Amino acid sequence: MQFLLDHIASILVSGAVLLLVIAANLGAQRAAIEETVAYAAKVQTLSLADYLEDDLLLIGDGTTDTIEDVTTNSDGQTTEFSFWREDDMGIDMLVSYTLSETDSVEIDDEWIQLYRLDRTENGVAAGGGSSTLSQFQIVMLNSSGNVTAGIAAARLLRVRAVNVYPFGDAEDMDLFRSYWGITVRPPNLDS
Amino acid sequence: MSQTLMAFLAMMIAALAAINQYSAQIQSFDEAYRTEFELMANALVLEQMEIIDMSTDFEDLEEWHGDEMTQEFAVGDGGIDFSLGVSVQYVDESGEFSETATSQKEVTITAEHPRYTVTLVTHSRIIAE
Repeated sequence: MQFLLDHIASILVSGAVLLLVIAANLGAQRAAIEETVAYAAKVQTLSLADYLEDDLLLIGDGTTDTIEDVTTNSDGQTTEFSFWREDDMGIDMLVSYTLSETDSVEIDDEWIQLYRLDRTENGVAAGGGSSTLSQFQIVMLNSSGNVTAGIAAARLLRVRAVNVYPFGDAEDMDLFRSYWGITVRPPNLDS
Repeated sequence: MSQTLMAFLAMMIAALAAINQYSAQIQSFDEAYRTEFELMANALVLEQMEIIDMSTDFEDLEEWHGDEMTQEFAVGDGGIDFSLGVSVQYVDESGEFSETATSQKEVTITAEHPRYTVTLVTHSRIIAE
């Protein structure tokens, strides 16, 4: 009888230890995936940020016109932002950023729409950003820092973006959101 | 008796390993979370700096000194509020604090959030007359 009890106890203990080790291992794997996802999202967001910041500072560079159009949808997303600047040959060029819907993902019973940001120069595709944006907004501010709809009054541009990275399986999906924002002051909007 | 002790020891080691793992996970999550807050705070501070620089004459910059405000990093329907504080002081040609009036003023803006006990972001800009 004692022999049997010893065996049962040892099986229970080894089972418990094994479960703990497996749980810790799974946790480590998940943490590693989350870290990688977070890093990838941040790198992509900051890469887009660098590009956008440099680009927007060149609004009206070498041209008489500056911002051409700002279009916003009902969700407050900027679906199109276009402006004039000079190209490398000294010729006026219209640069446009266009936001278009791509996939949507379901997280905790909530559907999240994803967008792709395309960039064109005179209508020809030239770079672009992420296709995993959930928010993108360019707002014009006047000299007092208040939001304005008038291009002539615009002095600052407030840019906000959220890049999302879904990860996990369909039943247990998580989402990493990478936030970014900047306010640029294109020198040619001062004139 | 010795078998029971060994079993407990094994379970304790396994439990400690699991706790360590979860602690590291939480720490990593906190760091990622804090980075997001810093980026949002950074955006608000830089915007306020641009607004002060653009809208205020050199001689009126002191009016901002001691100013505190709540600014929201708004995205979509939601947003997160940050507390911004502004200080203005005279600095010399080396950028060091000067008790007497000079031709340069340093504007410093800090951003804080109740979640964190320390200042998230501090930006300074020297504005010349």
